[in-house]
Amino acid sequence: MDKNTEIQVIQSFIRSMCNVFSTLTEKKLVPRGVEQSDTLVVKVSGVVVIVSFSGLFSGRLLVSMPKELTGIIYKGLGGENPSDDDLLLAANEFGNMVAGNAVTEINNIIKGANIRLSPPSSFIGDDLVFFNFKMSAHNILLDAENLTIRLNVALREEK
Amino acid sequence: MIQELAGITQGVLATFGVQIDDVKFLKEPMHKTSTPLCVIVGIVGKDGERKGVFSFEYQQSFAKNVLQAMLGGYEVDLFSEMGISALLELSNMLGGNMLGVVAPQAVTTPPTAVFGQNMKTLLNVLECYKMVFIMQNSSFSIGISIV
Amino acid sequence: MSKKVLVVDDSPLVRNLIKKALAQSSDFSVVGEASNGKEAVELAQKLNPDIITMDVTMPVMDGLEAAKAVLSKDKNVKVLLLSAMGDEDLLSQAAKIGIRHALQKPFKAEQLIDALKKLLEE
Repeated sequence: MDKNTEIQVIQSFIRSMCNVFSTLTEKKLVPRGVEQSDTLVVKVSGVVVIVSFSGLFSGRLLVSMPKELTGIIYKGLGGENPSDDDLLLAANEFGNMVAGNAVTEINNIIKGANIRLSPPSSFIGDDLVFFNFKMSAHNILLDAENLTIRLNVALREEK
Repeated sequence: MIQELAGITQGVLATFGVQIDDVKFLKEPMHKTSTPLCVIVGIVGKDGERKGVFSFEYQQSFAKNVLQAMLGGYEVDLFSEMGISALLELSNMLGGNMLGVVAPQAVTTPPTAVFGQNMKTLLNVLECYKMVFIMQNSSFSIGISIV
Repeated sequence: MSKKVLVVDDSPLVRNLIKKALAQSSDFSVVGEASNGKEAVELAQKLNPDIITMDVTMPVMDGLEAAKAVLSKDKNVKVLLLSAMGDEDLLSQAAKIGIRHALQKPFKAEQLIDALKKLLEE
């Protein structure tokens, strides 16, 4: 996958994260920077949502955030006093919107991309570990309300 | 259809010399997992209308037995790069084989393995069909939810 | 007199979000909600809404199929498509069944209300 396309894709995911988060919560999400990850192992605690996709290239979006931040998103979606099951639903919805918005932009700017999404899957726990293989990954940390969201995007070209 | 999928799964496992003793079928209102170790494979239709999730839930004892069979009798650490890669590969193979029955016009997305000792999950808000394969006091489940 | 709105989305969170948004305007009142396309078609016949907010990807029957079924029975009902995806393919499929208005999720309350008002002006 050529570097320029990869950068465009990552930037779309970052923009989408920031826009979706601020639309739902009316709070600003600030990216710290992008780093290429040399490992496809992601270790996190809290709430995680993954959305996989396929098309001209395929991959996986992973968003990891503390429960408190997911609670803020849940409130933005119109709920109060969330249980863990509610946080899972909120994370699913959030992941769906972030991926959907990003992929809409990607499909519009990269000719023939035709990226389609699988349903979001969410997880809550301590010491969660996610593994992928044969892909290149990028880590982005974003800050809001003194809390941090981690965005990890793994990509590979489809033949 | 679910019986056919169970047959396909048993066929794939048999190529690695893994024999299943029994299969049970379940239906759940939402797609969740109950084991600490699972692999998730997404399903996407070529026009984006069909979408779903395969889940492959491995009890550790089952995973170790299957890995040993896949790697020609060698014992390998389940959580090593080789061990997890082999599980990802197996899940990918199973998903690909079942796809022809579940959604012939669809493709699968790259597999993701997840490990979390006491994790709660919500893999899909749709109802889920599960096949539980039992072998030598250990088990392995495949869940399918698709719109 | 406020316009009757039927809210259709498989996510209870999104349905809640839409209801809360519409509660901010006296121009609209939510008369029912459905969690899939089939329910939407049944409720539309029963409740005769002026507007339907319709999610696209839903189990049992998707939003485009449901919209087509509803519009074949009542050409006067207005449909606003809501989706996390907003690509040209979806919009052209929607245009083929007479839907020209869509809003991408997420949206602020004002954006939803504005979109519904534009729909009614048509």
